[in-house]
Amino acid sequence: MSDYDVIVVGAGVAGATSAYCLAKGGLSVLLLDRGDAAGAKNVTGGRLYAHSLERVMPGFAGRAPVERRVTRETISLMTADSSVTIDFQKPGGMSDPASASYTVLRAEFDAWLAGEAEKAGCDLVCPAHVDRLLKDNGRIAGVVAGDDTLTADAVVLADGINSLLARQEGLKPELSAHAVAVGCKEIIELPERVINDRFNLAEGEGAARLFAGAPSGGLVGGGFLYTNKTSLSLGLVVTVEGLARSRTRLPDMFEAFKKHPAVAPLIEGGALLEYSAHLVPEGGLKTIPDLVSDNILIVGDAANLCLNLGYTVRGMDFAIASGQMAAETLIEAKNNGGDYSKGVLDGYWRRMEDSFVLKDMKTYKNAPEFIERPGTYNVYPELMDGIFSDLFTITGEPAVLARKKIWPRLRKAGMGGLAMDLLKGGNAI
Amino acid sequence: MSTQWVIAETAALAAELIGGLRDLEDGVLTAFVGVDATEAKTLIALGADRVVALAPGNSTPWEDYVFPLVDRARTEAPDLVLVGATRRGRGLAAFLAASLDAPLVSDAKALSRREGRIQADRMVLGGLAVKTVSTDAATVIATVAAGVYAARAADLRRSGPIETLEPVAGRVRVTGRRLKDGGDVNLAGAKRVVGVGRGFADKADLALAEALATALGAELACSRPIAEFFKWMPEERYIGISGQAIKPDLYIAVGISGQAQHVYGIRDAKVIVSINKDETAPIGQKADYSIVGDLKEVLPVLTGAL
Amino acid sequence: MKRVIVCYKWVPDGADIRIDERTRTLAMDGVSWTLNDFDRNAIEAGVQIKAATGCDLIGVTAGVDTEASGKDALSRGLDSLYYLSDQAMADADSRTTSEVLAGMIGRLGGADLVICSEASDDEYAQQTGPRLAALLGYSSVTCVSALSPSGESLSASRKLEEGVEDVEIAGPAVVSVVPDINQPPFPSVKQILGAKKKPSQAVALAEVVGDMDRIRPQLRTDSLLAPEVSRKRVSLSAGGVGAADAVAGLLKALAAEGVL
Ligand SMILES: Cc1cc2nc3c(=O)[nH]c(=O)nc-3n(C[C@H](O)[C@H](O)[C@H](O)COP(=O)(O)OP(=O)(O)OC[C@H]3O[C@@H](n4cnc5c(N)ncnc54)[C@H](O)[C@@H]3O)c2cc1C
Ligand SMILES: Cc1cc2nc3c(=O)[nH]c(=O)nc-3n(C[C@H](O)[C@H](O)[C@H](O)COP(=O)(O)OP(=O)(O)OC[C@H]3O[C@@H](n4cnc5c(N)ncnc54)[C@H](O)[C@@H]3O)c2cc1C
Ligand SMILES: Nc1ncnc2c1ncn2[C@@H]1O[C@H](COP(=O)(O)O)[C@@H](O)[C@H]1O
Repeated sequence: MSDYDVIVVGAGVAGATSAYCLAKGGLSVLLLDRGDAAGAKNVTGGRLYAHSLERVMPGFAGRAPVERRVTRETISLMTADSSVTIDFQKPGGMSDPASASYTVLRAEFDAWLAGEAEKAGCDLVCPAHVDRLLKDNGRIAGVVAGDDTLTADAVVLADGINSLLARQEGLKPELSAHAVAVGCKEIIELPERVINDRFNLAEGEGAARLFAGAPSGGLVGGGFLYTNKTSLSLGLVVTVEGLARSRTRLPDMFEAFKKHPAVAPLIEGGALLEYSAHLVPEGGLKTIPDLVSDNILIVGDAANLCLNLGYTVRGMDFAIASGQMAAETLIEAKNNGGDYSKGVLDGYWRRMEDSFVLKDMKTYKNAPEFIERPGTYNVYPELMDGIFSDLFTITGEPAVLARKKIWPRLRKAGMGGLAMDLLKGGNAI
Repeated sequence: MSTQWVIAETAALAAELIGGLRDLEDGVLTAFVGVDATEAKTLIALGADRVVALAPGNSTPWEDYVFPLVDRARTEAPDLVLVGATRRGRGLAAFLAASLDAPLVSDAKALSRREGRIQADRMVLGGLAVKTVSTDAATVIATVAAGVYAARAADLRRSGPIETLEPVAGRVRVTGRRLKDGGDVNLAGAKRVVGVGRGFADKADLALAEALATALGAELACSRPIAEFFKWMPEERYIGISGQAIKPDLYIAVGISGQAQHVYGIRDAKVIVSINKDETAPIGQKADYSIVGDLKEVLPVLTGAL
Repeated sequence: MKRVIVCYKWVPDGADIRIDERTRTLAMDGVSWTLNDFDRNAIEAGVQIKAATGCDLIGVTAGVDTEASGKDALSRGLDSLYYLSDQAMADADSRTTSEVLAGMIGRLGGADLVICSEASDDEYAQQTGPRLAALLGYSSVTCVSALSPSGESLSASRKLEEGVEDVEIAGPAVVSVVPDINQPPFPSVKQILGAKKKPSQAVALAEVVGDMDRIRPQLRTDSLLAPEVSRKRVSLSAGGVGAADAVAGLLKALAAEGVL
């Protein structure tokens, strides 16, 4: 008899969601994280597309510690000393729960999510650093954490991009430089009122600002700024490969970004609360490892389920959805007699293929070769509305390439040269 | 006429508490102190009206004086009792307070009497905040650390009785005392102090701080982990809420993050300098001047430039 | 030793407390609570005595929302927990706390040994142990850096300013231990999971104090403010200048301050 039906390693959004669903499904679950608390050290840009968690916990945003609901989007195309900013506002369009997005701070959000899993009946232990997977006759039979050996019929690996455990098991190759980007981020404290005034926000509303071009020193990548209740999340993401080629170090690039005339006034007077840096999987579809083996499933960043769209990174909604689908697969396996062999667990892969997760990963398979054309756009509002709706409204419905929607709009607007420019980008995103 | 007490292990600390009490209010002041006859006379010259000399025997813990003190307090009903905030003093004060059902302000500063209430400041939340408390209790006890008050000038015309008090044995017996030979550390009087913290990854790197201290003519001090966990320096050298509080002209914090518990001990320094590789370390907000950089790189440059 | 009680305190985590620099007020909302740092040593001291004597080891705590402390405290080796959770403890002073704890210990039928630690992270009063001893009629021994039971008595070492004092304690005592006494290990996953299954009993204020007047705080809090700091906060490395320039800037500044 194993100690648990399932042990989930890593209490980020992927692991916590998985544990929550497993516990709700009646399985005995142990959720382990090496942090002092779930989410203690986790890094994200800070924008959660709500649709996938909405499916797991309808109306979650009313209870969860989300910071603000995003109602304003801008994207700035920057040169070294100038910027063109396109402002997109569609409060109505972003208000229904499935297409809403929220800014979050992981330390609070992850702790809450893990707490929900605990309330659903899962055992949560942190800090607990899992050193290796436990083997019994060659079969995965649990985990080893320090002096503790804990047995389970199946293990869910939700241990993030570095996933040492998946690599130990040979399930995932070593990270290669062109499959990862690196992101750094600061949390900058400002009074709530100042944020509302500066970003023109009503209470509870949030802004998402994306920056492309100069912030990354011409490298593939970009910057982001998200408003939290009383702080800003300011970050920069660039590919490791580009960074290796460039002479500039990431911290210097970040300093220059902070001083850019388009950014400096936004963060002025703020106090630095926290700095962090983290890897972002960005190899896309090609680098997704085999997610399934006997008695084991891989979810979230550990499975490279993350999209780097240059100036914005999207991974939490994939992490949550993959966690949920892994749980559904395991619940089914348990109910069908407790066979957790690869053949049965392959149901996870099929679920992912049928869902937005793998569909979107396929759609964006050529990202991050994305638009990066600083320049002056003569913005035709309807056109931009259309493009931005496509770019920013993520509902969990499989995405349609922006190009397909842009083209008719462009023709209608009769914009030739600009169209060519945009098309180059539209092909990738 | 009000009645006040001072209780302290040593004459030096008692002299400061007597000075503090005398500035606060008039009254009949009795000092219970571990002193000999000459020291007792001095304390009278410094402001005590009466001195009760305490001389515990070899197998008697100092705390055994608490039993006769409780009895005596019941008859004399002192309205204010200052106890020297030494390790024994703190424990004795708390036992006395509970026995008399009196409030005790631990490590009091800025004691005052206002409209019949005794008010005092004390540091709480590990040095993050100052709490001002007050009470109108008939007997108020406070522990006061060395350095809070200054002794008055001696007035050799003063005279007063000198008594002794016998401890009453409890159930604790001293079986041995082992004095430590921790060389003389004089941080309290140092003009310049270099403080080292966990930013020193290796004990050998302390040589960099020693060189700086020598060049500056400074004493070496440290954060608690360096003394308590790594044991790289004697405990007398750690600064903070549970260590020493110092008042140098210059304090240079090297590889110290600046947690409130540490900063408590350097609040009265004239100038604070920080050398830390983390720009966001809290010490940056608590220093006058900071250099962001690796101590291994910065210290040799600084020492060389002196 | 048959019954050993460890008193531990559930305290706000200072790292979470935000200070409004302008008003110097403290924002306590959203602050997480943790086990008083030094009390980890107190619990571990109890665990070692249990290992030597096989005594029953009970944790006692009083405060607000103390039920939440059980998981952590019990995972460190206590056998069971006896806790009081009451809003009245929110503005407790040391008198209130020790009266309540003495009431709780009395209701448990007393103990052969009560272990406290030197000080609580938030109040840092260093009073509770000796006060408890006075109220219970036990001996008080503070600054304990080593503790070993021998039959019905205890020997202890006390870490004092001038050195170490060794003592023999007969009869029940309250000891306050200093952090040197041990190095508490991190609880293992199994211990943390095991904690959930250990008995934990709540007790109400009215059951442990007869006269509510005795738990009225004697010390009133008139204000609670961050200390005034008036430091210059000059960064000599601003703009990415190198060590040599930063040092030159420092020496200039220190000379101007007149401290070199
Ligand atoms: C700079 C940056 C900006 C981003 N911006 C966004 C954004 O705005 N929106 C978005 O949706 N996504 C964004 N992402 C991506 C997103 O953060 C990730 O995709 C997401 O966090 C993945 O979640 P996860 O639960 O799979 O992994 P993680 O959040 O990495 O969690 C892994 C967990 O496993 C634990 N763990 C690891 N090893 C062990 C072990 N051996 N034992 C026990 N525990 C272990 C860790 O402590 C951690 O809690 C961003 C990423 C970065 C770096
Ligand atoms: C009840 C209680 C009482 C306490 N009392 C005290 C007390 O009296 N005194 C005290 O000091 N502490 C006390 N503490 C501990 C206190 O909270 C801190 O943990 C301690 O002060 C931290 O010591 P530190 O700054 O040396 O180490 P850390 O906090 O680990 O900081 C090390 C710093 O070094 C920097 N650094 C690392 N490498 C380098 C490098 N190569 N070059 C330059 N900088 C580098 C890091 O950026 C970091 O800021 C107490 C704690 C509690 C709970
Ligand atoms: N509310 C409480 N509940 C249980 N134990 C306490 C409480 N307050 C203080 N103690 C104990 O007394 C010690 C000293 O606390 P203090 O007197 O507040 O500095 C703590 O380390 C605990 O062991």
